[in-house]
Amino acid sequence: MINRKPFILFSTTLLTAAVALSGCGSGGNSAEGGTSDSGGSSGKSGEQTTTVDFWVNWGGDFKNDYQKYVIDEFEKTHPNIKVKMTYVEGTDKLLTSIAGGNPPDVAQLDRFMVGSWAAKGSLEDLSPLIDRDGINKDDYYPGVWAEATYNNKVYALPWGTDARALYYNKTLMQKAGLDPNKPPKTMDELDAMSAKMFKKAGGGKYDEIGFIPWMNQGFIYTYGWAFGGKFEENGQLTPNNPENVKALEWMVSYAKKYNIATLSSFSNAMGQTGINPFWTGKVGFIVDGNWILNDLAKMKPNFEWGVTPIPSPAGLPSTTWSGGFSYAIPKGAKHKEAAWELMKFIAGHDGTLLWAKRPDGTNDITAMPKVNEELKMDQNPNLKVFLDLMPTAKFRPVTPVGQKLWDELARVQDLAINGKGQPQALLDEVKKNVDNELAKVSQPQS
Amino acid sequence: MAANDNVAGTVKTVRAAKRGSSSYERKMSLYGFLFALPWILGILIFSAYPLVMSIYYSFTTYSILDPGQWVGGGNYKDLMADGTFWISIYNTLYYTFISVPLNILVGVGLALMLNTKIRGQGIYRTIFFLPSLVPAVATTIIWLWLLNPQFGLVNYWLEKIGISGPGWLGDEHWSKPSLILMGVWGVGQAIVIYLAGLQDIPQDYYDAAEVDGAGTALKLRHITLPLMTPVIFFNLIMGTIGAMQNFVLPYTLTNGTGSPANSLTMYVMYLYQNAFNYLKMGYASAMAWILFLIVALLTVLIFITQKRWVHYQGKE
Repeated sequence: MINRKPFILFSTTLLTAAVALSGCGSGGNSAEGGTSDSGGSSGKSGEQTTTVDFWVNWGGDFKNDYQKYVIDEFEKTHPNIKVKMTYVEGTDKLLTSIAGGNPPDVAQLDRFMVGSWAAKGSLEDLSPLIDRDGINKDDYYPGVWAEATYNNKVYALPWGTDARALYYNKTLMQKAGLDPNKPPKTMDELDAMSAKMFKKAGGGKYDEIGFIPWMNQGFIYTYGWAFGGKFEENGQLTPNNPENVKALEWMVSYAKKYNIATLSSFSNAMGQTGINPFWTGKVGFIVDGNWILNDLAKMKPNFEWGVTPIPSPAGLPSTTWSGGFSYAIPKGAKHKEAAWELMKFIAGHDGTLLWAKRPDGTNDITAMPKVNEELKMDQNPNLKVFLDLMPTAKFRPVTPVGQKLWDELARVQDLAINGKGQPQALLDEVKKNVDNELAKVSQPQS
Repeated sequence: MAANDNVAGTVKTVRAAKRGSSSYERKMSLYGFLFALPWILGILIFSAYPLVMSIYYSFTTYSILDPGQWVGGGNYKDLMADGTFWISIYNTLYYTFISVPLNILVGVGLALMLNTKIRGQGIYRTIFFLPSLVPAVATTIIWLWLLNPQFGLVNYWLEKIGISGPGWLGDEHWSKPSLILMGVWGVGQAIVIYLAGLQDIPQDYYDAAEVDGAGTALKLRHITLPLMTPVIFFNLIMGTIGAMQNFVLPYTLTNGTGSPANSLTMYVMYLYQNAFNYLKMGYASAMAWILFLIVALLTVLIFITQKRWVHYQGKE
């Protein structure tokens, strides 16, 4: 016969546990959302302390360093705001937290994504706050500010930026019989100089190479702009701009001349070591960002090198392009005012300066020219090359389909250099694909 | 055992409750239901609901951030015109059709060898099982190094015997074979199942065959392999389903780009890109359902062929 008592006891326990567990779940969530802990330390004084939930997606030591150099200072000057910083990898979690109506109050976001997220209505429009508190857009580089703006509304405050230039190995240039103090200024010069530096080892593989256009920061974006091309014109995306096609054709010419399989073998081998190919001393020229200057302390290259703007076809000005990060308030954030206070500090003059002053940040470019001047960055001759390009730096189109455009361009670049299709046809295809996407996004939505 | 009594009791009371019996029995059936409740809730909330919703979403422009609009078969129509979608199908089928049979061949072969009675048998078995304990991401990194075109061990050995190794993962003609090779590395899990199958074959059959004068080859052909077919059948189905959903390896290898030249763009990878990079969850849901149909179709096809080659003991 069945003994009923334990049976009932057991099921009651189970039910209670289930209820308790689900209760815990929702309780935990609201705590994560950063409810103001009025019952906290400041309770007795009657003043309310607000806890700002702040998500960052930079890994490594960033969270601890940022806390130490910037957030601690903020909390000192803003005693009624506490900051709870959380490292959250990637953007998937941010996405779902916004969709679930329980996002952080401030999120670190690649500026490149601001446009598409704003288009989905997932970021707070900061324009009223910016007007109210007199934030001056001229404090930031024009390209940097433009990247945080979508449809004439500002959705993020820019934070940090970067630029790209051509690094050249003087030792290899000398070995090839070139004047190491005269780096290439035009594409023709680059082609001619690099041609002298390719050196094969056994097995038909390259031991040293002059230049591979698509290595590191070399990309169809980089060269499209260098060739005078545009990716956006009169509100239209123009990946197949004639100059961009020329740029891709130029990239393909390297794949053909030096054999793509052999080049890939070299670049893959290098890429995997985790060491920047340029610092191995086996690469004559490479397009890369200012941030690799930070490697110098560790790498201590045993060769002479220099850095110069990316060459352009004869007669065209030097160009570079910039990316960077920003801080935004996700839609549905619970402490907008406190979040805005935090953002004004960390993305404003004080926070930007505090972070840029840290010991291992000497080669970072901030989004604010004034801060860069204050830190006398232009006295660093290598960094000056990048800084001088900043006022005219290009930026990727701010569009709901920014990520798609990037991926599509990467895809066809890869196809083109592997001999799968013609640059013109491939870039036309990109144009068609992103326009299709855009048409779907732009449909009026309730 | 008391627990068994309880279950039996519950089952009985459920039946009794249907007939509308005493309150005691009705109460017992309620307990039975309460016991199953956590599981039922789990299935409903975490499996059934998303499943049903994904059908609905596949007909909308749902983007995670906004509910989107009803577009009918729009997503499916767009997919048919999406070049990358077709490339991902081609790549995934290519991978599945080669890697699954190859894994079975290698798995059965290794299992046969590991089943021979030699000294240190346990050590060999452990060695072959170990790789499948290594997390997929770690495996990927190890293979990246082994297959490194210039500093890799594989090309180093090839060079020793006078062959100039290919660019492996960097060469669009070799990237898929490389991926398949890496898949074979994880065959240990299947070997364990094959070994269990081999141990299950009664020794009597071999003894009888020996009396009739059968050699090793004949025994393998007419006893071992036929009796292994149910196990191979199981691994064929599981392997096919797994291969069609291959994600971690190609994603880690290419950072989600599928390079070189789209040769490693796998179906689920492209699905993920659409869902989380382009915020096209509706489109991704449509992709998921198409994948489901393809996998279902392949499984049905395998089941149909079953009669021809799978031998179950005690049948026929």
